[in-house]
This record gives sequence, structure tokens and C-alpha cells, in this order.
Amino acid sequence: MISSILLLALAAGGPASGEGALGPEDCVRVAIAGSGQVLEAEGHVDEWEARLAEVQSIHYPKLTALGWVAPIYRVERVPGPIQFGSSGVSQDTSEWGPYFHAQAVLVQPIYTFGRVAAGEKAAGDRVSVERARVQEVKNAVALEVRRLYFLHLYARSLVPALESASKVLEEARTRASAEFDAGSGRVTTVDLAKLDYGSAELQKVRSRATLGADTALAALKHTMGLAQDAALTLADERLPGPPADPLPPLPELIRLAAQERPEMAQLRHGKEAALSLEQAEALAAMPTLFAAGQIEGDYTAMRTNAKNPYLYDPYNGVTGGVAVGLAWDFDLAKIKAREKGARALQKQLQGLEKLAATGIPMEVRKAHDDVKLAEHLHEVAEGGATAGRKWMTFAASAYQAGTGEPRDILEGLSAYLNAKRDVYDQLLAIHVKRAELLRAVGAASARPDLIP
Amino acid sequence: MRKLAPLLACAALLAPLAARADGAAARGRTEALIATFQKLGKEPGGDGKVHARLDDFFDYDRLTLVPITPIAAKFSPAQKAEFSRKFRELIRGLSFGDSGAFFRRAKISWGAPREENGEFIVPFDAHDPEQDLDTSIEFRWAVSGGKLRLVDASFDGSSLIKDYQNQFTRIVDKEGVAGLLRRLDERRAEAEKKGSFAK
Repeated sequence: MISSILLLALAAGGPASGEGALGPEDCVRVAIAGSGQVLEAEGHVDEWEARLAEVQSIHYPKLTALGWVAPIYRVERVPGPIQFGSSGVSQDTSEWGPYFHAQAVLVQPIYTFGRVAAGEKAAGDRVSVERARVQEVKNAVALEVRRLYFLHLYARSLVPALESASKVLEEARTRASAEFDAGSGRVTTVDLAKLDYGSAELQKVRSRATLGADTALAALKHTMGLAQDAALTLADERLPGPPADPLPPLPELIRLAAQERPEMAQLRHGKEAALSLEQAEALAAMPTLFAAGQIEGDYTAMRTNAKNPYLYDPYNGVTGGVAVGLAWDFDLAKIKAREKGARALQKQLQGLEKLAATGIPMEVRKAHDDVKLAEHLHEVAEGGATAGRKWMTFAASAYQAGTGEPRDILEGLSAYLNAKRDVYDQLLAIHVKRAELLRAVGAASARPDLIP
Repeated sequence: MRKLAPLLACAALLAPLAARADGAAARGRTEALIATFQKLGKEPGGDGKVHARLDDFFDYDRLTLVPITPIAAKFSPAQKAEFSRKFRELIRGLSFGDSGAFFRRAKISWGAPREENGEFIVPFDAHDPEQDLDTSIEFRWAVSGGKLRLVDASFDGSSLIKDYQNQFTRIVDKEGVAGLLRRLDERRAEAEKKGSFAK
């Protein structure tokens, strides 16, 4: 019973594909949860956490042990005094037996004169750099999802007007053909060709819009980590209108970017890591204070056991002891070279920091200005669409009153369609540029509420 | 004076019950007109009765004569009468059918009615989702024959009657009144041939 409830609780997660309509933020959430790029970036965090653990392992005792057994022939001490010219042993190469050897060394580092602490800090800061990089990848994924979401809606938004225009053109072509065939003089071959050309142009735009909608949706599914045949219902059917809330002021956005951009966190931690690395490399010249214990044992029945402790007997015996000591691996040239490498890394980071100090505010400013421009152009485009619509409407009323020509309606229709497409172009730009601004301030995945 | 007092009191009491002409009434007439348009093509017995109901909303005298006011002097009385009849028939024959389909599809957002020189303007936005078309429309109503009747329509701020004035003036300047009347005939004949003229 309890396990069933637990299974149901686990299954009732966030909205999955096909379950309810997904808005742009829902799509971002799904994409980040299933993104291969995010997984790869998280793998780098795990990698550096493992390296940190490797550095930290120095705090723990190390045991080295060795044991072996080898064949050895019999050699025995012959009783009696050892004389010059005589070995005092008898050998029997026909008799063989085993020779056992075992040894173990247990070492516990006690103090590294700051070297390990510096290495730990360097590795720890590097982990923080990778964590910030994960956030950067998430922001990039979020931006891509939003871009594709609105691109899909843009293409869908164009389709109704294009289809309606196609019907009008088709009807006009039919009427014009009848007029031409009747020889009324009101329609010439040039007029028919103009209608056919207009139809072809319209068909191209329709095809691009339809295909564009499908391609953008496929790309969105890919970015969300969904299979191509997965069901995905979007919350919007057309491009939403411009957001009503104004942008925060530019100085506020720049301040937010300094605080939220993962690249700034990467630089901060990267600088700390590089400093610690230089310190660790400089301290590589220091010894390591350690305590150790060693035991060694040998046995073979094939050799006489020399019980005299002053005689060296490698075949039978147990030795061992504990000690405190210093281990030192001093290679000055190598140490200096590695210090130089660490300082080179610091220089690279200083360069990046310099770039970021002006580059990030510039990026924020550009994204902010792009949004403002798109909003202004959208207003202008709306005016153009109104004018095009009036052109079309009054051309139709004039034609109905008998005072206008069909070509006026078609010209009005063409102007209206172009203007309408321009409206949608700018509306798409507003949404995409806002998404880019969100990324520029570093909040694309974590705090989308910062840019309405 | 004492004899007049009861009469004045009755008039004051009855005044609100007379034909009400204000923004709310104009809005009501607009809604009723749109509802009637929506019935076109949907009545089992045909559109004849719907056309008759629609006629009640229009001030045809103004709709047909105001467009030629700047050039009225060029019309003989017979030509004026002929133009008024033919233009009225053209408006009914061609506009009614298209308007029915449009208003059935459109989603309406109402604006606040306003008064201008004793006439009432009802603004509304119409969104046609099938054609992705958004239009700002204003219906202008004036009292005629004891009722509010439509005297003009504006689309995106431009008056239809004003546009007709300019068109007709240009045609009459180039082709004369006979040319204008001939164009009305040709348009009607074209529509009747295609079967798109509602009678």
C-alpha cells in the first residue's frame, strides 16, 4: 500500500510532454531537466569534485603492502667455525622449497606546511567554477528554448492571413480568367500574369511559414530532449502581444548582470583557484611531515635460520618499527615552471575579467536597446498594418460601389500582408530580444521573472 | 400659466419614456444590428425578412445623398433620385451577405460610446481569427424617423461616407454624372451575373 502511494507520488512530477499545454517557462523547465548539454556540464562538476576528493585523500593514512613467494633451493649452515676459503654452508640444488616474503608500510601524513590546504582550495574553487558553468549552460538552453518556442508561434501566426489571402487571389484569378475569356477588355494577359506571379509569391511564403513552423517545433523538441514523435502541445497558438510590463532601467539591468551572470562567478572562483594553485605550486618545495609504521617478514625452511641479531638474514625473520619523518621531493626548476604556469593562468583570468568588466555591460546594453528598438518598430509596423488594412478595406468598398478596380483590392491586400508580416517580425523580435536580455543579465533559467 | 403647469409636469415625467437617444441606446442599436447581420444565411425561409429588418437600421437617405453633397449641383433631380435608388440597392445587394459572414466570425471588444454634434458614435474592435484580421470600427447613429439609424461607418478612423464623397467627385469630374450612374449599373450587372447580389 505505502509503496503504491510512493510510486504515485514519484510519478506525479512536473508537466511532462503531452500532459497539458506547455508555456515557454514549462518548456524551459523540461529542457533543462532533460538536456544533454546540462548533463555534460554537471559531469564536469562531478569530475572536479572527484579531483578535490583526490587532494583531500592526503589527510588519510596510506597502506602499502607487498607479499610474494618464490622457489629456493636448500642451503644449510655446516656446524663448526667458518674459515677463510670455506663458505661454511652446504648447498643442495636437488631440494627446493618456498621462500615467503611480506612487507607493509602504513604512512599517515601529519603536516604539509600549507601545500595540501592550498591544493584543496584550488580544487574547491575549480568545482565552483564548474558549477557556475552549469548555470551558464542552463541559461543558454533556456534562451534557445524560448527562441524556438516563439519562432514556431511566429510561423503559425502568419498562416491564417496567408491562407485568407490565397483564397482572395484564387477568387480574383477565377474572375479575371472569366473576364479575359469573355473578351470584356477589362483583363489582359499582363493582368493574369500579375495574379499568377502574386499567387506564386504567396505560395512561397505560405510554404516557408508552414515548414518553418514544423522545423521550429522539431528543433524545440530536440532542445527539450523529447523524441521527434513525442506529443507536445503549446499553451499559445499565436505569438502573444508585447509584454505590458516595461523593462527595468538599464543601470539596474547592468547591476543585475554583475550579480547574476555565471561568467562573473566563474571569474571570481577561477581567480581564487589560480591564486591557490600558485601557492600550492610554490609550497611543493616543502617537505611532508609524516608518521609511519613498517613491518617486514621472511620465512623459508630451505635456509638455516640465523638467530644472531647482528647477522643479516634475508630469508628468515621479522623486522619492523614506527617512525616520524620528513619526505621531501625537491625539484626547484620544475617547481618554478609550475608556478609560472599558475601565474599564466592568473594572467588569462585577468584578461577575461577585463573583457567581462566592459563586455558584459555592453552585452546587456545591446540586448536592452534591441528590445526597445523592436518595441518601437512594432508600433510603427502596427501603423503600417492599419494603413494596409484601410487600403484593402476601402478598395473593396470602392469596388463594391462600382467605382474601384479589382487590382486596387489586390494591391491593398499585398500591402496589408507585407505590413502584417512586418508586425509579426517585430513581435517575434520583441520576445526573442527579451529572452536574450534575460540571458545577458544571467537570469534565463534561474530567475525568468526579472524580465517580464 | 396655471393651465400649462400640468402639461409641463406631464412632459417632464414622460420625457425619459420618449425615443431615447444616447450612447447606451446607440450601443444597443449597434448590438442589435450586428445580431441581425449574424442571421444572414441562417434563416430557414431565406434572407428576405432579415433584409427587411436590416433596412430599419439604415438611414438610406443620408447614406446615399451625403456622398454626392459636394457635387449635388451637377445632378438633375431625376439623376439624384436615380443615383439614390441605385446606390441604395448596391449597398444592400453587395454588403449584406459579406457582413453576415464577417460578424459571425468576429470577436467584438466594445469601446465607450460618445456624442458628436447630436449624433452618437459607437466604437468597437473586431477580431476575425480565421483571417487574423483586427479592425477598429465606428458606427455613427443619428435620429431619423423617431429611431437611431446608421448614417456612417468608419474603419480604422476613416469614414466610408467621406471616402465615397471623394470617389464620386473624382468620377463625376472625369466621366460626368452619366459615367457614375453607368458604373453603378455595370457593378450590379457583374454581381448579378456571378450570383453574388442579394435581392
